[in-house]
Amino acid sequence: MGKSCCLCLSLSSFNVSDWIDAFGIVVNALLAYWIVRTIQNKLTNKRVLKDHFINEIKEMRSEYKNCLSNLYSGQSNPSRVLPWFKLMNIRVTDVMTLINTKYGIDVHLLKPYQNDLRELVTENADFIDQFKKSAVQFSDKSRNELLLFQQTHNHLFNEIIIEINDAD
Amino acid sequence: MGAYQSLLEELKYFNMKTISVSRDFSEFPNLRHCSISDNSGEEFYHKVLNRAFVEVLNKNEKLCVNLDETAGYASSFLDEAFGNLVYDFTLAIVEKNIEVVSAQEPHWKEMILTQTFPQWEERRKNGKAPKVTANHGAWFRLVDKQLKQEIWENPVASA
Repeated sequence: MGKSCCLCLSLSSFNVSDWIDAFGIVVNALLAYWIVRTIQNKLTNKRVLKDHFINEIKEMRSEYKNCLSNLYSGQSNPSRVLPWFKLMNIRVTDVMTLINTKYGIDVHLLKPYQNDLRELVTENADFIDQFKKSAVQFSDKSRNELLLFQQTHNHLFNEIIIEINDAD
Repeated sequence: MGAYQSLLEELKYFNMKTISVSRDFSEFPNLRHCSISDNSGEEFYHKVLNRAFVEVLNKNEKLCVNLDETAGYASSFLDEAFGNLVYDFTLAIVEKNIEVVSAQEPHWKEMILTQTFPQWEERRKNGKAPKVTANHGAWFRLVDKQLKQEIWENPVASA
């Protein structure tokens, strides 16, 4: 009771400028709260989206790695290679188009995997000769070409991940 | 591609004779020659593309070739099919009378227009005939501006 009386007395002694100051403090506090919340949400959303795209890139790297590994070890059915490349190409194009729009990353960065790798496999003499078989066995020369491809282009996935992470 | 763009694309090809690789040939197109795979580019050309192209040529129309909805292509399939077309009808006539649609994998259209067409036109000028690896019925070729139907090449022994 005593405390509320004190508060009433002090409020009654407020002049106009005091009221304006008090109002300013309240507005500033609300504004600060709103800004912090909004920025925090935006940062969280950005991070979630970045993590999603980074995971997509990691998965695609893993898919290509498995494909190359199967080709290398002679476990690939030639007739299933073409549909696999088509599905992967559509997926890669979709993800790269989105990260290009969102972060300005070059949409063609994975072209070697989309086109050159498919050409390397489907135009390979072993692949053509054994197309009607259930699995294609690559010669040492062809396997070296696959290894060389992987060595030359594997860095592309990490480059994309770094670019996504560093994007504003 | 947005719905509006798809609609515009469809309207663009509405009046054209359209052949679709998946509908008119196979959902599973394979490699270049008949001797190495079923559903080859060579077979597609001789069974579907050559005749369809002559049909539109006679009407002075355009042929739309839809590459979508298949299980995927090897570049050799498309190179053989569209390359034979250029060899038999010349680059100028083919470019004037064909429209390639490849919304799912746009790079195929680019490859056909920028690589296959000029390379096979060069081949045509050099008189290096396409390799045929199976027996085909007579097919059309433009000779001295006249369409002639013959068996122009015979199968070679190996692929």
